[in-house]
Amino acid sequence: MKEIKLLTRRVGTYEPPDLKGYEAQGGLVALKKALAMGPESVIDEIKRAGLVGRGGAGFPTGPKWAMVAGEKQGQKYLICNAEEGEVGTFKDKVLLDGDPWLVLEGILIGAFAVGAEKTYIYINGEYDQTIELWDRLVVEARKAGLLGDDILGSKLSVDLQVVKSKGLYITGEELALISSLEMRRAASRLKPPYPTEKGLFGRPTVVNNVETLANVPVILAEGVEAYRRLGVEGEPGTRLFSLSGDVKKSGVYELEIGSGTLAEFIEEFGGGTAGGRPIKAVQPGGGTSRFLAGDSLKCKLTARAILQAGSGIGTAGVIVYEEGKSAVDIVKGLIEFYGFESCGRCAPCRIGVVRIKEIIDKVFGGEGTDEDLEQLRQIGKACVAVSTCGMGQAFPLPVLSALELFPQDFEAAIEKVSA
Amino acid sequence: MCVSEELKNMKTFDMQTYQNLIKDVGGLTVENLFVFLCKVQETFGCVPNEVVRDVAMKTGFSEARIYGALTSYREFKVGRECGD
Repeated sequence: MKEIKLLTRRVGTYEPPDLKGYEAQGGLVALKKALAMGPESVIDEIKRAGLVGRGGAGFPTGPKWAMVAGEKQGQKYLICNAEEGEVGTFKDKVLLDGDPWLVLEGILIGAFAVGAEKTYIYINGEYDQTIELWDRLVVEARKAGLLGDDILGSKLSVDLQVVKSKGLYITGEELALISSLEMRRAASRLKPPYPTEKGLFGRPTVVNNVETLANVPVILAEGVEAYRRLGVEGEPGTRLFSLSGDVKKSGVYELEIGSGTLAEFIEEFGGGTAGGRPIKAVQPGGGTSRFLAGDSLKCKLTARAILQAGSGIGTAGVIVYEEGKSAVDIVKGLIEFYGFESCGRCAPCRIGVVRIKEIIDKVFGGEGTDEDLEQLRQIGKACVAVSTCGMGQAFPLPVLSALELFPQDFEAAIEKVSA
Repeated sequence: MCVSEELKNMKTFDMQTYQNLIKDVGGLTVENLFVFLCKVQETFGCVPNEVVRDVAMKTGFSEARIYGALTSYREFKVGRECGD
């Protein structure tokens, strides 16, 4: 397994917001190419490249852009989602800090392709230095004629607003993010209508993850064929994996999709587990993904293989737990976080998360019964089935999979009392 | 920026600074209202009632909507929290 530097190759080679350093290394080539190609051809190229969103849901980017581009009249918006609130995920920060011009180029190409004149970048409120950097970057970009009217001598005019997120996990969800920009409380709503039809201020809106947009200039500059040579059938390109938890070396690693297995990745890049004990469980897609354990860790690092193994690739935030921790303990930590962050818009999530937390606390405190575990399963399944947004549908997954994979941990916690 | 540094840079509310903030964002519109109120919070450490009244008038949103939104975010301080 080898790290492949496709998106991250300029990270650390120039001092942002220095535009010259970026241009000297092949920067802005893609934007100039895109301006010469025209919007339709750009969308066709992205479709041909088979780029899928890197924010968690994995929606194909080309078709999403085509939907918004199809609306010819009136204002359209593009939002770069840099909220990155998911537990165990910190890959976007590497791009935002290390190569912000690449992300900005992606935003500009996206805005050109869909015809959006107003764009936003919604940055996690805890990334103070990143926000400062982006404020300076916008000033630099205006000076260099990359933002404002007649960008690079073309008829394209795009404006970018840097928004500092106000410390809520739910604003990472696209509709909650839109609500917050509309001066409403950050809460999701029912889909459809999707943001591509009725998004920000009721207008068609594209919401893309930072990594997704960073892929766009790379695809255009390198060419679709070269890009598709990387990765596997149906999932071309590379992916940024954030590795954290009980490993010796945590960090962000860019890997070719499907170049190795999850177990190899943890061993080679993480240097094995921190305490030297065997791996108990792994969450391959951030804090809301199901646990993988045992043989399923031998799955390839592709979205399809991880799905078949019983989890989801999500935001590609790999969290490792080693032997010696009780699953009840792990789940308790996760649920505390999600309980704090539920927006309260829909009942299953608002009530379910509190009930699940109560039961887990009870089991953890040694007062649980078998009926409690059964109730956990039922409440969890109900939340997954009927919650409005991705958060409500996903936060019970670690609990449900822990109950499936490690029933002995829960039983041990229960028996502690009865004995 | 650490918390103590942020507090040091905080100003007490005055109309002139507020008007300059509006100028900085290029005039108050519905589209940049959220960004603008974030700037108000960062500059003064809270969003005073008179700011809410003013932006409500300028954008056509009801005061209730603005209060409703602001109070739902952990990092905004509104009304009584600013000593109003």
